[in-house]
Amino acid sequence: MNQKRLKVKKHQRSVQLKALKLRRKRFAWLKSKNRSAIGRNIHQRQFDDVVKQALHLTVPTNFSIRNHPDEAFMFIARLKNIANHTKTRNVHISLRNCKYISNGAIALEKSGFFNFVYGNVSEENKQTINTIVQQGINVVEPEIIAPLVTQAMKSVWGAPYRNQRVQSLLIELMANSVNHAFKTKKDRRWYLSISHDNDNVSFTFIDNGQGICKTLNLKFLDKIKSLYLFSNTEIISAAFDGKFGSRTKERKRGRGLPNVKKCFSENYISNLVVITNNIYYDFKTNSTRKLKYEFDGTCYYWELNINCISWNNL
Amino acid sequence: MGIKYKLHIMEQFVKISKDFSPTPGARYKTDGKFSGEEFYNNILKDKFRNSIDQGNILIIDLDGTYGFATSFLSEAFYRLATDFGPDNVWANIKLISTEEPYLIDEIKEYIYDAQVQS
Repeated sequence: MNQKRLKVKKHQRSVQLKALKLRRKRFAWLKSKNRSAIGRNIHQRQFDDVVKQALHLTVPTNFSIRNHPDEAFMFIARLKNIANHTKTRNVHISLRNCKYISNGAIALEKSGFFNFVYGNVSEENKQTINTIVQQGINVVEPEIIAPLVTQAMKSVWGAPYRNQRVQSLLIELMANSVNHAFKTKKDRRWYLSISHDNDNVSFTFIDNGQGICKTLNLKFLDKIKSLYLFSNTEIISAAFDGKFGSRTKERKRGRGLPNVKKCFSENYISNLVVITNNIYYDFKTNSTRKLKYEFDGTCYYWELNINCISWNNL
Repeated sequence: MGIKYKLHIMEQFVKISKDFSPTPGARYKTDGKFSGEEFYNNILKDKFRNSIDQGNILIIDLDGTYGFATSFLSEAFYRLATDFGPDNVWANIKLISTEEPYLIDEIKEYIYDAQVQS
């Protein structure tokens, strides 16, 4: 019996010695290579390996769709390029150089995102009522949007009032994305991010479809004009004025975009910006500018604040 | 008699926020929940037919919802006008919209769109 125990103990000791030797060997190897993995646990080492094999991208210093659209869309174009033209699924995105992320920058800002980031993140960024991304696939989601809108009203007006115009606007945008923005009927996604900054709430709505310029119903003559005479700027401006019908060519259709403009012009929302294809359209200044990098899709940004009209209906 | 009278009155009244949904959606059933198509097929069509059969006016209350998309209203009322005729529809409905009065004119437009199209 004792002999058996001795045998087991001897075996255990040899296993321990082997493990110790391996650890020493690895430590010596890491030291010789000057690796940073010394003292890191297995999960951290696995993460390091993933990062090593991943493609690297650096978020621009000023990551803001509204204020620095060229930088932001260059980054997005690179990211899309990786997704569309490479087989790798691992992309390492570094925020090291990033000094400013605006409210509308693909919902990466002060929100739950930072709970998953390594490094120093201030407490105020960890606890927030912001909606990082509300995503919809192939359908309109009025039930999910309604409490988000009332929460926005609470931030601005102090109570969870309804806001029929903003709710209506969001349904129009979701329906546009689902019905018109994409070539195929599969995987039609839209994303909404809402950022609360005291009594100013900003909304960013994005779809990655074809963009407004490519999805309008242009009559034959308008098509010819758009090819040779009209710029994308004129096309976008005319689309929001309701001068083109819907792609479905039904008389009852094509009121979505004019309704967006009406919502802004009647002061139910403020600071409306629409970015689509290579156009940046600022409704406040009624001006457009051409972007260096084309954005395949449509991005709407607007704010809700105390200067906007509200009925205060609970 | 009193109960019968109450039921009779109830049949002539549609409050969208209570009888259908406080969060109406977009145009078609394929767009997602609570679409204009669903509202027309499940509620509006039958209510309007019953009210016409009984020689009454259908009262439609638009207040109390979180908000309407134009596509929801245009689908529901365009279909109604296509099936029953625009003049007949406009003469036999009464719209209540104290929160968003402009919706009444919009709905009238959708109803008479059907006439132009046909």
